[in-house]
Amino acid sequence: MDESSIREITSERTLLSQPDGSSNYSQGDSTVMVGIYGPADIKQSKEQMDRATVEVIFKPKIGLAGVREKAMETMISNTCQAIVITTMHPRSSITIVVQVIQDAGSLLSCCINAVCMALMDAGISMKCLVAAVSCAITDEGAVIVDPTLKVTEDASAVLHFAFDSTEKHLVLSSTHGSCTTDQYMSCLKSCQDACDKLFEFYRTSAERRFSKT
Amino acid sequence: MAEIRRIRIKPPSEKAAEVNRLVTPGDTITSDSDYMRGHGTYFEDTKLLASVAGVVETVNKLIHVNPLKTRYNGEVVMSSSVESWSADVVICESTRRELRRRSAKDELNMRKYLQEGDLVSAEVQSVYGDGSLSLHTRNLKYGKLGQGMLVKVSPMVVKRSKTHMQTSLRCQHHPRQQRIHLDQSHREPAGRHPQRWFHPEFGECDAFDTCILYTYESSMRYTITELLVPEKMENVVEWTLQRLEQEGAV
Repeated sequence: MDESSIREITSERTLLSQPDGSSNYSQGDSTVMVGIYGPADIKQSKEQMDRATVEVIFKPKIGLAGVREKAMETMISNTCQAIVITTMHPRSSITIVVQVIQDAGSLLSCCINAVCMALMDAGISMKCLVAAVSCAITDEGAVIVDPTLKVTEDASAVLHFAFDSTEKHLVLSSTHGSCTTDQYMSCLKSCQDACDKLFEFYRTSAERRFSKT
Repeated sequence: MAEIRRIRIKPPSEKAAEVNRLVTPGDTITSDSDYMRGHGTYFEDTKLLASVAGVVETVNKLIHVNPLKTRYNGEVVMSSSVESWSADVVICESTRRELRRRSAKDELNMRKYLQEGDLVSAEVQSVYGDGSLSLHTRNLKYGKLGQGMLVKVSPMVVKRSKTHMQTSLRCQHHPRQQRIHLDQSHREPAGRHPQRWFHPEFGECDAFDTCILYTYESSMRYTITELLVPEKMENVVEWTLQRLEQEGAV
């Protein structure tokens, strides 16, 4: 079985009144809600003189945040720092709060896509948009894009990639498990093809939003 | 070894002269180096790219992108609560500043005029380096606001205009500060202005003084209880919009 497309995407923007930007994003059954505050004041100990500090708070569905959540935070934060023009807001903070509502596979990709939509909603300057796609390599060697939780559990490797919207360059690459170089490259290609759908979705979402006003 | 294709996503039209063109971050606005860069854009090589999702607007040689949501920085300021003698300035992210402190006696007397929770209309005198503000009420049009009802309105809905204060018999409001203060000596009129009027659902009537007056007058056709029905509210908004259109104000 070789699925090469992402599950159905739905999203909602500006649903929260307090944050500057917010979004509710789901890919199939995986749903994530994001709130963004920024650019805002920051503690002097954390401030950076020439750029904004991007802080990510990742909240799992159940329980307290642990080390695994911290790893997610770092990955999301690094992706955002590559995309957001942080030099526009020195000595400020951009706080991104990610709340997992349901995890049905491809959670990291879901989070990054949700964050991208919320950043657009907040009007924070970005160099480009970012689309993240996950894929899994099964024991038989098949590549499945946007895997469900069950596929992820049985897979020999799970890979997450994020691409930018201008040149489709790689922004984030994360691997769990082991795979050959060839397998890695073929996953990269499949994901790159699959993110077209996401960029189209972002554009349609923005168009809908602006056509209302 | 599988090949990685380098795909360039086709940008929307490269002409800059189009009106009402929607762009998302990373979209090329123009390759023409003649234009000046405004808000929401950035230069890369010789191209001008968008940095926010919004509508491209050109003013002569200046190109900027207008996002749907912007944060508001106002000048005439409404403070929402006064604690001792420092005011909470809502617009500028709750910086606490001193009202007036010339002598110890002044400080004690301050309580006679202003209590915690009072609504004050003041003007920003100066802005300090760390972002804090100094307010003054040295004009007759500023000062403590008496009775009325505070209506919170999203700043996006407020229309930009030069002067943002109007005192009428029944209605005194300061739309720019996202608050509308009404004279509650007539309780009825106050009830006629729930903040729902300015919810985008009910129409694109921006909040400015004439608009509020017209809405109030249109609402006089119904009794208070009738006004709670959504259809009646929509009617009132429609009448107001019609009236504004006739006058060419919208």
